[in-house]
Amino acid sequence: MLANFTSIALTIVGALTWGLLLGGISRSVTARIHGRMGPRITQNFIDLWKLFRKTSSIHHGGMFWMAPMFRITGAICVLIMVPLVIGQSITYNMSFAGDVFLLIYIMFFGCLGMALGAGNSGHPYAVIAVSRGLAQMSSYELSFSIAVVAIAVGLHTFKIEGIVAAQQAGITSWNVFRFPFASAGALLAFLPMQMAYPFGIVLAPQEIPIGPPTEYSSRMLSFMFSGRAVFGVAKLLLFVSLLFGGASSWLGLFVKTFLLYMYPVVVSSVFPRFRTEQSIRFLWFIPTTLAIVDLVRVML
Amino acid sequence: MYCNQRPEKPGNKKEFLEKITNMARANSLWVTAYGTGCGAIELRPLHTSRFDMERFGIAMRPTPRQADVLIISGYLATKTLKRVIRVYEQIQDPKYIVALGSCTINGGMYFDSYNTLNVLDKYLPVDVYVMGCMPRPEAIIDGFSLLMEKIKDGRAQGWKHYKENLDYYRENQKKIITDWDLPDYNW
Amino acid sequence: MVSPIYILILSLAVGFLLSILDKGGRKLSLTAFYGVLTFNVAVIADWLYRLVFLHVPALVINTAGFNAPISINLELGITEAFVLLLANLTALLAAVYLLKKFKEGRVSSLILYLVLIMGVNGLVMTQDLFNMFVFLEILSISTFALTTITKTSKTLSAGFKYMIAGGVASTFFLLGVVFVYYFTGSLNLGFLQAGQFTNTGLIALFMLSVAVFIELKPFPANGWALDVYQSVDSGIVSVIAVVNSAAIGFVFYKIMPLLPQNFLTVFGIAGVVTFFFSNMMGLKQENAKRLLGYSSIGQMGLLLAILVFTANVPANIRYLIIGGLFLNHLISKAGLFWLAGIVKQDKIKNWGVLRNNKPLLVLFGLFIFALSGLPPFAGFWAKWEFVKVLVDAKMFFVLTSVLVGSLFELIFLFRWFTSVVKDTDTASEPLVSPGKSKAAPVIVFGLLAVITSFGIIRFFYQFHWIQVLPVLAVLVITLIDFLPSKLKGFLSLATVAGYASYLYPLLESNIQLFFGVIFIIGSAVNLISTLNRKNQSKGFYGFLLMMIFSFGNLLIASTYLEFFLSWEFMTISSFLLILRGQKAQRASLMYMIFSTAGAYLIMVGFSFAPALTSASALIQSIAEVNLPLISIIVLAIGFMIKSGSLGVHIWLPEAHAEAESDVSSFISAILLKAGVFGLLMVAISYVSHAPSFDVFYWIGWIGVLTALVGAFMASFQEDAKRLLAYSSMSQVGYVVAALALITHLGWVTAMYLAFNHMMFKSALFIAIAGIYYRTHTRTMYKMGGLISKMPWTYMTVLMAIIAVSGVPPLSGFGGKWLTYTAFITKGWYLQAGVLFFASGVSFLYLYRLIHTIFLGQLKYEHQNIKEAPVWFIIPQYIFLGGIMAISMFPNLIIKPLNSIAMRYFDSSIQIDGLTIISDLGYWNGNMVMYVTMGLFAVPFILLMLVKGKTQKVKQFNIVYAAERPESPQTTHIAHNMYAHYRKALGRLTLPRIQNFWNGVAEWAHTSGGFFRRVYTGNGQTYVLHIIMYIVVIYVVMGVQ
Repeated sequence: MLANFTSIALTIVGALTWGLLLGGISRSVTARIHGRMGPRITQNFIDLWKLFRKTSSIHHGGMFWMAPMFRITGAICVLIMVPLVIGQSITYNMSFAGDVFLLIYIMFFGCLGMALGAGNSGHPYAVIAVSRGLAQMSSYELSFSIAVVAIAVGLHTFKIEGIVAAQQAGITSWNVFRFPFASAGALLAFLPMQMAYPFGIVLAPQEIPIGPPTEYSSRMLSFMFSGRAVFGVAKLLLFVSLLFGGASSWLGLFVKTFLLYMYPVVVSSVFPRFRTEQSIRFLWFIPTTLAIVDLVRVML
Repeated sequence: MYCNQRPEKPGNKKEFLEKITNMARANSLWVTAYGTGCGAIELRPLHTSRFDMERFGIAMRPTPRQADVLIISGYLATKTLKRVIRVYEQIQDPKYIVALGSCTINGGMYFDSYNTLNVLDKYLPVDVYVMGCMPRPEAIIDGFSLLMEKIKDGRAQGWKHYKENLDYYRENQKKIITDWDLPDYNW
Repeated sequence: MVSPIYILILSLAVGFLLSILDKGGRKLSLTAFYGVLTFNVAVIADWLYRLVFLHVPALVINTAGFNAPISINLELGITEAFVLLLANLTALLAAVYLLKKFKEGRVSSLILYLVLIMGVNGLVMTQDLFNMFVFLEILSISTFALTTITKTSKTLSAGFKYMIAGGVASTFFLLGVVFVYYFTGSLNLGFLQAGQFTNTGLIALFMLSVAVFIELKPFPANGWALDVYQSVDSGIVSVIAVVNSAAIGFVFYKIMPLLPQNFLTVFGIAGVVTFFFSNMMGLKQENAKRLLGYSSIGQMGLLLAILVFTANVPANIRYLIIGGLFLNHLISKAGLFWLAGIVKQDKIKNWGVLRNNKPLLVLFGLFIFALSGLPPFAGFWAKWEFVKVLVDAKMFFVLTSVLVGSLFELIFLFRWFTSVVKDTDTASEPLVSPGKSKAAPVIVFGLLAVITSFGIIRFFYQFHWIQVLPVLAVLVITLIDFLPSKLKGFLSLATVAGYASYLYPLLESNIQLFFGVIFIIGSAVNLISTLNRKNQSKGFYGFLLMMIFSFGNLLIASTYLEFFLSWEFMTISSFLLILRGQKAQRASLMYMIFSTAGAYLIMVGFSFAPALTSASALIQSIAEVNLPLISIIVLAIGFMIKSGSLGVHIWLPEAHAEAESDVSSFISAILLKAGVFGLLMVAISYVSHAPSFDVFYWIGWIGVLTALVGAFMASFQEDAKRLLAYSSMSQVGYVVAALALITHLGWVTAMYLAFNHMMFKSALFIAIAGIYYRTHTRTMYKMGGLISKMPWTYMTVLMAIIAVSGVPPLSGFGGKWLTYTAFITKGWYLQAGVLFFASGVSFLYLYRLIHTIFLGQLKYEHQNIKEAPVWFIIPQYIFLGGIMAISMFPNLIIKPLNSIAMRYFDSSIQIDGLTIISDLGYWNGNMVMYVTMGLFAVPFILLMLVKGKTQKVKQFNIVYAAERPESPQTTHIAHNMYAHYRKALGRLTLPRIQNFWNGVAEWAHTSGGFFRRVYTGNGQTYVLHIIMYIVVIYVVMGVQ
């Protein structure tokens, strides 16, 4: 029991650290792509601490308060329901609570809370961003879910451990190779999931300042910040488990998540942004079709 | 619909934590994206690869709620002052003002204009002035390093001063803005 | 024991004496006049009593002291007595109705009236063909003379046309009589036999029958009759439409045994055609009396068709069908014609004046319902049995025409009814209070309709009293309607509780119990929200109880008929409840049309079904019945109409939105589940007797697409209740899809979803009801920021939308998990993907709902708004408690559902402690709840500790590009919130299904209008029609 709690606590702290670090690295990488120096790798830690220590003198109401909680709870729930390292059962944390569908749905928990908080802030831009975000989310979930269904059907299990266990026979047994089309669909869905360009319509700092968190400041923002960091790691873990054979060692875990994290960062740096309806249509057609190809393959 | 409460006066913080936090604050200056005057044009090169202010942890934020620094980039028209006050008051504490160019100090080439402020200090607490017309990006970076020094030493207390002397600032502001239709307190 | 011959004698004698009596004052003559009419009724009633209860043999009266065939003989059997009783009764009441006219008019009209009645009596009783001709002529002439009782150019021309047509018909009849005598040497029906007419002899029968048939006004040779119906005084028209038609119809009935089968078939089909086209043309009719004319002609056509097509049916059923329909037609048509005379408005639109007189309005409704063939009135039972007969005889063309025709009839009748109840654009002059003489006949017939329907229920079908409980509830509540609303509400609640405890021991299985919880407990909790009603809310609780009881009766119905009866009671009561909404005219009409279409399909489906083998509840016994494929399809479509599946859903948003806000929750949360219950019933039979064609595969796709389209549609609504309505459609789409899996897990899913939907949708609708109560608007962008004003309601909506969306830890996730597991286990992968998409889209509308109402900017006009009344809050929180309970302990519901579904399939899930394990995955609802709650608490406490001093700023204090918002309206993002999504969908957002149904309606109306053009109003043309019609019939019958 105590070991479990310790494991969970460590997982959370670890994910936060790794998430912030990845964020810092990604800022650096983006800067290098731009031909700049970029900030320190630890910049995100500094930012977080600063935000945490800034005073919050205002709020907009109850939901506004709760949103960061929703955000962070949703993130941690996903995190601790994914098994981390295969074979080390202590790192499975709470993954006995449910299978891959639980994970997908609990991912909405944070988004929902965020959206509610944004609504409660009373800022029009926040809501515009939420409406875009929801539209985009419903679209990328289509291809993502079909990809997951294809994989789950192909391996005949919904269990994360089961899906990971099926990929342990060398690199070629990874789902990304066994289900190339579904994986392509899921990976295309991963871009909007990470709010990477060309799907960056939600935060869109140029037109709807930063989107949902427009009104958030200081401490509440710091909670969101950490929530986002943790959530990022959780999504990485999910994708690594689904497509890239899971992690059989700690090193593998870090390497795989790192590489996967860099993929949207790199794509993001070189693309302009879609408009909302373009983004929706793209997500409906290209990744969904790809995912369906594998689904049909599995059905046959 | 707006605010009707005076701002809380800041209390004293714990020494040790404050020191660490000041380090963090100095290295993570987020700037409100608000170009008030012609000087804004000189801020753009700061983002790009030549000067790259992100390496100092300086980043632009599109909303004042999340920012630390307000840059008054050059001449400030009375019309703009109204907005600037609102933006400044919406920034959460601690917050800093960097004023660019001669105009903010004494009116510069607009010293006798009917609608330009001459001395910004009377209306908002400026932490760092950067001279020049306009100051080049290097000068601005220099100004920022000065600000960072001040923050680290805990000397950048303009925001405290503003809160403590709110009545003084308001009086001056209202003298300029004759059609004062702002809420009295913008938090 | 007076011989009925005296009816003829007395009528004639008094008729002749009247002009003399009139010299002694009108009072004297009127006394004699009414005396005779009453005498007629009494004599016939006496005879009917003897014939039926004392089993006296049929009376044969030989006139002039000789036996037939030398003399003319009259016969009075049960049928004759029945028809004559009703005819004479109608005649008496019509005379009472015409009292004022008779008082003021000339004495000749009294005489003519008596002669007419004499003709009718003679026509029915006589057995001699020539005598029949004489009576026909008497009838014709006296009718013509009576039509001109009010002399306007219209009545004169109408009467003249009537005369011409009658003349043509009589000529043929006379020729027929001549030929009959020529070929057989006899004119007495008792001595004529079908075998005597061969080859050329048939021409005699043809002429005879076609003449009678023309008198029955077949389409299209009936223009002359319509003009009469339209222009002549209501009292007289009621006699023509009902009494005359009855007599002539009876003549046809008498000569029917002589006619060869091909004649009969052609006449029967012509009757059906008449029924179909009359009702179709009625669609476009706006003149009340002409509309009734169309309906009368249609009804006579139907009656004729029934006479022909039920020839081989057991006598008691045949009597029920013919008698029921005849009685129904007679009562309601006469009643409506009389009402037309009272209202004195030509345009049906102007009948809204009836609202000033509640009793008359009730009677009007009663007649409309009876005429449309709704229970408990006689027409309902007749239609049910007739459909069964047609199905058994495999006469599908006739069946379709009759049902479509009935639907047309129902459409124009209910358009009329809803317009009377609701239309604001109505005549301004008040209703002149009818005198006693005018009101009394209408009331008598109203009572007669009620009495006969109870007679049929009690004596023919011998139903248990619980089957008519819905109607009793209405009657009882009507009696205590003067009580304040709240008291009635509490009484209703107590009644529902009593009903539940009565029902509980009658339930035989868990599946009934489960739906019992949804139907009865769900209704009871929903009922609490109605306690907020002020004043008396007359009539509300009666229909509400009727609906709740009919839900319950569905569960214990043990025959098809009982089920269908409860189903129709449910439809009626919900229709009347929806109609109460302020602008519900169109919505309720649409609901009624779709429901009835569904009901017809269900009726047909049940008629196809083989007989039940056990006496237990239908949901149980249907398992042993092998439903044929056609029955499954038809029933499924019928039930899916009720559950708002894609394609037939367009009634749903309208009805939900326009019903009163505390009614909407019943419709969405519970009524839709009745459709699910029905579908489940079909599926139960399907499980053990699967036909070759996989119907449920396609039903599954329909369900899936319903879920998707419903979600999209919901996202684009501006009206909160329409949004919820489309959401209901979407959610029930999930249920239908899961049900269609026909697997253990599928059914567990379907029932889980149904239960969950009942709870959260009730809570949401009641929440919206509370908001509507305070803000008086349903348009979401007119609200906003209500979270600070209505925090309790907000909490409900928040929890409910989490439960809808399927986000853990609330119960919605259980539904999602079960759905995907079930679909993937079954192998419906693509469907699972589409459902996932639908569930993603549902976030859009859910967020829109909560944001545009509760978050964002508070409007100026809502600054001082208060929390919703406590009566709205209580049921919301009861449902919320339910949601929390099954979220925390999913086993509470999964275990019973598992056992229910295990009756039909092997279990496919294991319940290991708190974890539910399927073949593919697992889910531990408790743990998810604990984890989420725990994780929520930690940062929450942390933030509370470090938050420092913060103040809640006012709503306009936002970062607004350094500016200040002008007004909440411009700052609140709510209107057309998903414009981008609409743009992305492009042409897909076109309302194709709506357009399709609009097209159907347009088409029906246009063709109605097109066929109507045959009625030029020109007497010569009409004669031409008749002649041509006879020629066509002649050719079709192939008479040599």
